[in-house]
Amino acid sequence: MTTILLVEDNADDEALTLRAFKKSNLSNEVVVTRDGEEALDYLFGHNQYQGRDTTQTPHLILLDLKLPKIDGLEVLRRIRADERTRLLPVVVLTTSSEQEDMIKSYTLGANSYIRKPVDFTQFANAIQQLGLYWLVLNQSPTH
Amino acid sequence: MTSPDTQAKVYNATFWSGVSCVIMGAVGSAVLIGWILDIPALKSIFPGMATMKANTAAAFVITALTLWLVRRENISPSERRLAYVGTGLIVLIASITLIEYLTMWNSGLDQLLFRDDDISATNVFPGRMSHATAFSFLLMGLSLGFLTIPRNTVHRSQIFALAIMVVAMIALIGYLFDVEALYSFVAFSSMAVHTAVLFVIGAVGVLFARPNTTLMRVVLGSESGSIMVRNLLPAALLVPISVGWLRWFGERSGLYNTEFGIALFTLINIGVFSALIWWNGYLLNRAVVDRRHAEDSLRRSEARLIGIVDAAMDAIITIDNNQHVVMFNRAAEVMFQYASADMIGQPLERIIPQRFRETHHTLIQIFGETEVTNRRMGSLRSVSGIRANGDEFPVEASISQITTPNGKYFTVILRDITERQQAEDTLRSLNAELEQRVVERTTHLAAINKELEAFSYSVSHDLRAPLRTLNGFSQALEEDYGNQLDDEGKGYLQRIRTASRRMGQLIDDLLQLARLSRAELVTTQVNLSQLVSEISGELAQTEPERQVEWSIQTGLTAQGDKQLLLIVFRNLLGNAWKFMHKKDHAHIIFGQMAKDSELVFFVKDNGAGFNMAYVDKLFGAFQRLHANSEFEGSGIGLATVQRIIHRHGGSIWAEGVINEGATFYFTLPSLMEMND
Repeated sequence: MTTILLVEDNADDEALTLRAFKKSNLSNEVVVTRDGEEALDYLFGHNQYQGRDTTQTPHLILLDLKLPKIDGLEVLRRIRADERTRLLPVVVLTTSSEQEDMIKSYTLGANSYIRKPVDFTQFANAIQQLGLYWLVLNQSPTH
Repeated sequence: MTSPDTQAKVYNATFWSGVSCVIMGAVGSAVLIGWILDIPALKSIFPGMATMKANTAAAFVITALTLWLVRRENISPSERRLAYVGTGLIVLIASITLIEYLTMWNSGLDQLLFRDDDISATNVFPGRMSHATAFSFLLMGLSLGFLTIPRNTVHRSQIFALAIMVVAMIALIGYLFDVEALYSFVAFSSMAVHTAVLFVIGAVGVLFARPNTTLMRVVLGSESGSIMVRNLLPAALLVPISVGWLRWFGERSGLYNTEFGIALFTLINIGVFSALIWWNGYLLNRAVVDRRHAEDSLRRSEARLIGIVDAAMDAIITIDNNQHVVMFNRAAEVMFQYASADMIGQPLERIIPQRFRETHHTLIQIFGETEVTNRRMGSLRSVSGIRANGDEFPVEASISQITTPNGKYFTVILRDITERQQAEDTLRSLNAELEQRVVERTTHLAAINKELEAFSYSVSHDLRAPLRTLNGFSQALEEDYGNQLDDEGKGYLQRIRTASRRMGQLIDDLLQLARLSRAELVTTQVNLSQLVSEISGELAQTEPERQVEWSIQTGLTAQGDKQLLLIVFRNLLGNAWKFMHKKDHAHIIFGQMAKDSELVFFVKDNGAGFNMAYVDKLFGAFQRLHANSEFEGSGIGLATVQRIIHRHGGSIWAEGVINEGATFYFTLPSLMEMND
């Protein structure tokens, strides 16, 4: 069972993403965290995720940049800073079209950068392609 | 100090003094040779006349030598010693001879040099000079002596010289009128003719040796009096002699008797002297008139000069070599608040602030030692003056120097630059203020820019999220509950989805337009033909089944920002592509042409075209000339294109014909021109 960590603060976007995953027929478990802090808590077993087996890392992290509490780029930095999560595939999924954000993301070690399209059909396609590539085709280093 | 005029005369006078020495020496030596070789002609000139004795000749040679030594005013000690020897010898010879005459003592002096065997009535004491000669030599010795001693006894020397001349003249006139009594004082002793002449020459030589005495200045000067003397003295000598000789000759020849002779003599004298005096007066008058003319024109030019100097706006001050004020013009009076009368004779320092005085004094001195004619003062430091009431003020000053026979003079020209400095200071502070304001405004603008950026960033992010929801869930609705909806219901959902898509595009376009104004141009040489080719490929890829003919002129380049130009062409070509949707035979042309002597790029299509009546609206943001149902578009594209072209300094315009096509023309001037 592949696990996807979705870090997304927008409830609508969350629903649409989950729907897209469902449509893509990729069997996976999607964990949703709604802000940067929660995402890190999940990954490293803090606070409400105390006691979780942190060796069980997600196969893919979908990271939005605009997050409350701890911002997306900072989350990325911390993911890449920790031995346990350093090699995990992170796909930045964001609305930002700023060149700066893209450069920063790649600099901090993101594996991929995808702009969320407005059109849902396109969005669903993107998710499907994403999932196929990263979960099926791509060889993940930690699994 | 003597003026250059009298200086010259001094030189001349001593020169002639030297000449007299030469003559005396030459003649004396000739006579001595005459005695050695026994040539009567040299000894007495006229045969049968009295001879110049060897002692006399020798004495003349000694006189010549002595006068040569003392003829200039600066006599060196060695010269003086020799001169003493000379005068001593002359006086000795003269005195011994006179004593011989008085005491009948024969000292052997007379025959010391040569034997004189010629014993005759005129030569009772062979070899002995006459009384008159001895006496004259005594006077000569004394005269020379008074020149030699380092005391101011010149006048005595000159008196003796005059006395010598008198004695000699008596003898000469005697010879002229054959009056024996005159040239032989005692029957047996007579002064030879050349002796007399030499005495006159010698006396003149002595007189000329000191031209600066009152006596000689009158004779040698350049004043009208001296001119008169030089005009009349010769007459005083020649006229009586010639007239006298005339009378003597006339009487001697028996032309007329003594009474007639005297009367004639008197008449001629009166006539000649009157004429001479009149003539001199005439000359003097003319000289005076001339001089008055010169004085007048001098006075006038002086007045003019003073007028100029006084009327000048700049202060003009002249100082002498001791830096005391000699001239203080009106502007200076006003500037420094001193009356010119108060400043004349005062040191210049009075108008210089205390702490600068010494430096200033030294600098002027140094300047005075250079050959430079003029320079600006204070090129290295500021110069200031001080008024009578103690106010200091900045000045601009220049100094010049001239050297006159009366000494060195400096002229200082000053200008009060208080106002100018104030203006400069004001300007400087205004500039600083301006700079400050510019800095403030720049920071302000930079801050605003940053705000705008942040704003558009959040706009782009925050506006899109709800759009995604709209779109996504209407899609979901259709997919999951579509079977419960009829076609109309599905149509509604479709519209919702389309609208949200359009809004997303609009936001992107708006953001792009906003970003354009802020971004810096990155200028390079861009190959436009290549860009167009690439875009044509992109467009072909989106609709591979469409048949579009592309005519792209190759090798067209321009200077500009590649990214922005990409947007321009994407828009223009995208438009052309879009508006030809309905046409079967679609043709797009990109090229360059000359229009009104300018090089212009163009994109031409044969698509829908537009009505020229609405050409003004073409480039307005959100302005559309077609319904969305016909051709999709946000209406921002051309506004963006225009903004980019304008940022490159170019211009863009379009021509269109409905259903035939549209052509967009634009220029991209060389950016190097733009930056000038």
